[in-house]
Amino acid sequence: MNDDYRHLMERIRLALNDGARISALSRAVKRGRDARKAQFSRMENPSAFVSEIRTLKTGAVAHMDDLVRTFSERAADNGCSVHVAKNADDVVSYISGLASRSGAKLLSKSKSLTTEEIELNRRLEEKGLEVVETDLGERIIQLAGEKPFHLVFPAIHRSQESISELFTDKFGYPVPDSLEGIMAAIRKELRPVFFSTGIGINGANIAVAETGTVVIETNEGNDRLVNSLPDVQVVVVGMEKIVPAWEDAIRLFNAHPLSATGTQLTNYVSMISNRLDIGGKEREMHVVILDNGRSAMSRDADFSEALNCIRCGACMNICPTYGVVGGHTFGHIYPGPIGIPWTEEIHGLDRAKFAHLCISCGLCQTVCPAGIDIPLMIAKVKQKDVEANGQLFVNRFMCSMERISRYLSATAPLSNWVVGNRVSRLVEDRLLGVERTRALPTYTRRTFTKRFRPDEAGAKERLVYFPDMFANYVKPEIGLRTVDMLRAAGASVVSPRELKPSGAPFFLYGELARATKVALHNVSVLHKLVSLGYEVISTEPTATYSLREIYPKLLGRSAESMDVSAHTYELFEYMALKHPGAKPVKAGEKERVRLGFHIPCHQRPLSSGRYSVAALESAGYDVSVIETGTCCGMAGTFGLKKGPLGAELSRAVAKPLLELFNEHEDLQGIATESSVCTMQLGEGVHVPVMHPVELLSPG
Amino acid sequence: MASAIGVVGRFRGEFEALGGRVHIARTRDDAIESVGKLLSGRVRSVHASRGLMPPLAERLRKFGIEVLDDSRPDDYSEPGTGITEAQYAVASAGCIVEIADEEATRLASAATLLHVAILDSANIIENLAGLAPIIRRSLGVSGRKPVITLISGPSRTSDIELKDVVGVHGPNEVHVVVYGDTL
Repeated sequence: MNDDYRHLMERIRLALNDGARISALSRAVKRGRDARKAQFSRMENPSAFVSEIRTLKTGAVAHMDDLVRTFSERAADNGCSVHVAKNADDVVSYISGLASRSGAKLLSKSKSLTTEEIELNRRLEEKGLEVVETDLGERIIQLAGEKPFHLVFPAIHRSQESISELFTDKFGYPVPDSLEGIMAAIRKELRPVFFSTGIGINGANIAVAETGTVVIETNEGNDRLVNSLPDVQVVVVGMEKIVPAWEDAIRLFNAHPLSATGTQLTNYVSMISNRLDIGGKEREMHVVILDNGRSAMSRDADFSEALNCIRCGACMNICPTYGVVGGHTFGHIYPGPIGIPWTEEIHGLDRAKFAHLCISCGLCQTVCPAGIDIPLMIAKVKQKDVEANGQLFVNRFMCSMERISRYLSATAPLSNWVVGNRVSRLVEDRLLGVERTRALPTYTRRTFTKRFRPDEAGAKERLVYFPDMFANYVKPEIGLRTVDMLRAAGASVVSPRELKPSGAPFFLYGELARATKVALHNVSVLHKLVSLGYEVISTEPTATYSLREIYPKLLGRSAESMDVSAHTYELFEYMALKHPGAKPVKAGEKERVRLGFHIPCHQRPLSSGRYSVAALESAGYDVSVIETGTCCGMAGTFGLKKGPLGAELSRAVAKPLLELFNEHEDLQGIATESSVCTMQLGEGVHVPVMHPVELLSPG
Repeated sequence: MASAIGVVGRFRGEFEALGGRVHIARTRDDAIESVGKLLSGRVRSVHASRGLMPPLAERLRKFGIEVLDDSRPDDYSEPGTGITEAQYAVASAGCIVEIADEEATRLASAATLLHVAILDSANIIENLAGLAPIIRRSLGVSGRKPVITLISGPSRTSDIELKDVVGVHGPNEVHVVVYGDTL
């Protein structure tokens, strides 16, 4: 293990040991994701909203050079000085030049991630200037010498008490441990700053080429004082933030808060084209357009999509591991999921080690208002890191799990004892990095593939069942019951032996060449059947997600992969759409009627489990979907790994979800379709966890 | 505007949900009178945007309130009270639209603790999409462009333990007096 990994693990462990921080952060991210969800559920057509944002951002990034030119011309016509800065040094020398010309020593600043990116404050301070952040959260972390913990709530990791202590220490008088006390102190401290600074520095959320105007959004209103009072105003804006027209800008300043905090608008939205007159004095406005790698990024097919980010923080609010460790661990300067490609592109691969905190749940993409394929970009960053710095041994081992499962199954039940006895578990823990307190799956020699007999292709309705690893080697009953249900509906079912498990671990651990190989293989096997009129059915959400979402990405959206994707269904989705009249009935223990339902992350971009819930309900079960809105944390083999970058983090992610399930004391069972979620839930709840197909029989 | 009453009601609901207060007056003159009543006994002087003068100054004098003659940024260093005109409002978003030609107007709504805006009910638009032509028209002037600001209630933060606080660097109280024939 190299030092970067060791450093990352130390940081994770530190974060895991700070319970107060974890609960503050989890409240913040939950509030963000619940508020966003409430807003999006009120929308008539949320996917049209996402697609509009995506289209406008993609268009703007594609025409970035033209937009820079048009914006610059119009802003210059308005009387602004426009400077296109290549990098941090360029911005620093421009602003420090303004300071020395105007004699300004004190600069006020309103929140700007783009200036954080280039560590503007530190660099200006090195030139002898004093820069004061005026957003409350930013000022707190500036005084504490920290970086933002969260994009929207930079100081969310600090308690009110610690803020009053910090202010008491820095301001030199007692600041009471109360909201009123803290607010009074910050007003008292910052008011004179606003009125005595020579230069005000603002970030901009949007720049509009059409009229050469910048748009600045704040809730506190600090930006309005920063950009109205000083004689010199500087706006630093990332090149990717320029849009052609006002219609685009309006969509964006609505999308930012909708997606970040669930409000229609940020409290103040200022649209500034030039300085206004006060006292007849000539005052300056400078717009610095920052490149710092963005032009190169826009030409990089793998990463240009990251420029579509509108900086709402929704991906942070839903990311399961970010929600536990926070932005100081899960981030360099840009935090969270979208921070991974941004860091790699802007600050370099060696700063992006935190990419390995991503557990490939895919949730970030489901909430991104611009529909950015963040999971794929993260997988590519991991791949770059693996190629440059090598793979962890335990990850290599986990990547061979599918092959190992085949052997373990072939030699079961002896293998279960050999692998599972206490001595072996200790050895596996020490040598392989497999957490010994995790229950391992019990393999069976009588696999699905061995027990299944394919139908002749006589029937009109032809189906391929894709069992994946668990339903084949561990619980063939899931596959067999599925086949029974499909046959009872009149279909003929095949399940080619040459199909390989989905290859999800390769994606998780950045082994994209191997993931692509599996994708190519499975798509070619399935496509032959799809072209003969077969539909593909799977009962493992990760497998369905792979066939439908991941394989096309890995295979460059080839015609075959798109075809297979279009013909792939979840079991209950297929039954509901094609056999709405088929009514499965309760199976087995008739008294078990009160069920909790867990939605696996990979099922969210599919049906979110609604067809399975409907099937269980129509069979007479009383079902409640129980969710925190994020992942259970198992993430395939991730939760099996020993240590902070495995079971420790995985269990910390699971904790709130398990607590929520356990609060529902009347549950008699839990239904979920994912085999790995079953392991995680099974460890922490006291009722059986089953696949819905185990709870139902054909009607 | 055919459904003006609906639009005013909607604006009021949304703006008040965001912590602002809406008052209704019959005419512009009544609106100015309402501002006086609202501030009477609470404040002795106010900053105001030039567009509202001179009737505002005359009327407020009746309530013992002086309209300050501001010409420098420093005139706003003590957080006081500001009166401005909201040229438009957006009902669905609950925001007023301030189109400022002078910095003094912006400071009257930004550097004060108490902000009162008067608004013609005919200028409340339904939704955000309707802003594009308004912005375009406002910025289409030759010479110096106005600064346009959407204001959705008092200044706020949740930076400390996610607790909602109003009144950070801007007003902690924002009132809008809506007037007009379309009410």
